[in-house]
Amino acid sequence: MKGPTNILAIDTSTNRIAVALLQFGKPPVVAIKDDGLRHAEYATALIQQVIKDSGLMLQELGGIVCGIGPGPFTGLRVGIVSAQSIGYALNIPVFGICSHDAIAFEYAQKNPNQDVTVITDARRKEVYWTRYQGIKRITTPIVSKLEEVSNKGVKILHQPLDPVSLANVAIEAMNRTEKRVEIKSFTTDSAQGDGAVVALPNQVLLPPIPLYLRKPDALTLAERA
Amino acid sequence: MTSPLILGIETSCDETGIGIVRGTELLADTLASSVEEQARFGGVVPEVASRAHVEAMIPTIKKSVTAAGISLNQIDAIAVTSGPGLAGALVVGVAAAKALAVALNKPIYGVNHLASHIAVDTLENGKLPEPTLALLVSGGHSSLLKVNNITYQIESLGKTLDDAAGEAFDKVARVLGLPFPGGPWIDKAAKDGDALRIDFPKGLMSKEDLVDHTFDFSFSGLKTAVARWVQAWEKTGEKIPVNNVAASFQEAVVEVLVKKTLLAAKQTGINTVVIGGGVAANSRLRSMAVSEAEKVGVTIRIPRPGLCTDNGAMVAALGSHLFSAGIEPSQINFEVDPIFPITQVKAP
Ligand SMILES: [Zn+2]
Repeated sequence: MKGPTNILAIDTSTNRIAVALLQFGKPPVVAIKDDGLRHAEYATALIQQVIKDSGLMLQELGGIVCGIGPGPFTGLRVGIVSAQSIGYALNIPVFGICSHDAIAFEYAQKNPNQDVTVITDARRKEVYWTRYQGIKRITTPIVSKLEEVSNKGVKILHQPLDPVSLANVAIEAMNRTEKRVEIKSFTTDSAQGDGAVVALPNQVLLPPIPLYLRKPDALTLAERA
Repeated sequence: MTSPLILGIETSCDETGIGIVRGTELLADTLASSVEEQARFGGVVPEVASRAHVEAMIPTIKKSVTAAGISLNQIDAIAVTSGPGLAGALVVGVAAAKALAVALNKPIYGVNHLASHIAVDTLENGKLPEPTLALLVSGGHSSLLKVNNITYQIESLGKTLDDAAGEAFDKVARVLGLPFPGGPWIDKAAKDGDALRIDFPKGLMSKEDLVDHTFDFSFSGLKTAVARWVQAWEKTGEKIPVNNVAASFQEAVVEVLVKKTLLAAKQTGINTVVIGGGVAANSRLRSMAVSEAEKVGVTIRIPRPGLCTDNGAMVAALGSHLFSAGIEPSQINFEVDPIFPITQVKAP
C-alpha cells in the first residue's frame, strides 16, 4: 500500500457498523448504520454501497483497514472477517487498527497532544478503555467497570468511531513507513479478572485479528474439577 | 452448459468446513476443527467455536481452493450455512461468504444446514428420487423429513422432543468416563460389548406414543436411565461394564431410529431413505439400517462417515442444486437464523 491508493475502512467494534472508502484527492465516501445486533446482515451491504457511490472498480482498491476492537465479540468479528475475505479475494493487503486509536486520532486532529482516555461500551456494565497522549497509546486497552478507569486529570472521550479516521490512522502510520507486526494472536492474561491484553504491540499497524479482552465464559474440565 | 463451480462455507457449530464442487462432483472438502479445544471444556463452547472459525477461515479457504485446483474467481456462486446453528459461529461464515460474494461479484445462497446434510448424499449416490425420506441425526438435531424437492420443498415428519441423538451419546460417554465427543468412543466401546445385556428404555415406542408422536424422538429418558443404572452399579463396588453399557445404550438409540424411519417409509410409501448427520457415522446405525431396510424393500443411502459429520462439501452440494435449478440467490443482507426451519431451504 504505497503512494496514492484507494483504501476501504471497516469497523464493527461498537453498535455502529462503519464503512468508508478513501480515494486519493477526492472526498471520502462513508456509510454508517447504527444497529448493534445486525452487523452480519448489513456490513457487506454498506461495503457494496460505498464502492458503488465512489464509482471505483473493486480492482482499484489498494488496501483494507479494519478496526480490531476492543469491542463486543460477535459484531467485532464481522468486520474483521469481511476485511480478511475481501483482501484475500482481491489479493490486497489488510491491516488491523486498534479501534480506540481511530477515536483518539480524530480528537487529536483539533486538540493535539492532550491526555485523553477513550471509552467504549463493553456491555455487562463494563467499559473498554485506553489512555492516550495525543495519538500515542500509553496504556494497553483494558476492560473494567467505569469507576475503575484511571482518568485523573484526563479528558474522557466517549464518542462514536469515524471510519474515515480509521483509514487516516493507517495512512499516517504507512507514511511513517511503519511495518505491520506479524503475530498470530494477542495473548490475554486471565490473572487480571476478565483478562487484559498483556502485549498489544506498541504500534499502529496490527494484523487483522480480533483484540479479545475477555476469555470465553466457560470453565475447562480441569478448572471445574 | 457445463456444471457450476460452487464454493460452500459451513460454520454452524465447531467445524470450519470449506467445500468445492463442480455440479455433483466433489473437488475439495477441507476442514478445520476446534474439537480438541472443545474437548478441554467437555462440550462445544460457542465463543470458543466462533474464535476458532475466525482463525481458520482464510487458511481453510486457501487450502480448499488449492486442493480443488481452481482459482477463486472461477467459481460461479457461493453457498453458506445461514442456520440452524450457533448464532455467533454462523455469523463468521456468513460474513466471509458475503464479503467474497461482493469482492468476486458472484451470487450467494444462504442455505439450510439440515437440507445440506441431505444434499451431500448426491455427491456420492447420485440424484435423489422425489420424494425421498431423510433421517438426520447429530449432536444438534434429530429429524425425520420428507424431501419432495431438495431445492425448495422439505416437510418435517417428526423431530426430537428433548435431546438430540448425538447429545445423548455425548452425555452417556461422560457418564462412562469416555472423552468428548462421545459418538466415536461409544461406537468403539460397543464393539466389545453385549447389546442385549441391559434393557434400556426406548423413547416414544409405546402404543400410545406411536399414535401421538409417531415420528418424534425422545432420548432424555434413555440418557437418565443409563446414568441411574451406572450409579446403582457403582454402589456394588464392581468395575462398570463400560462395553456392555455402551452397546446396550447404542442399541436402544439405533433401534428407535431405524424402526421409526422404516415405519415412515411404510406409511408414506416412499422407499428411499437418506441418512445424514454426525450420528450417521455410527457403525451400528449404518449396519442395522441397511439390513432392516433390505427386509422390507427400502433402499438406504448413507454418505461416507466424513461427509455425514458437518463439512463444507454439503453446503456446496446444496448450493450447486439451487444454482442449477435456477433458484434466485439470497439478498446480500440476509440474516443468520439459529432456528432456521427446515421448511425453508434457502434464506430469502
Ligand atoms: Zn449438522
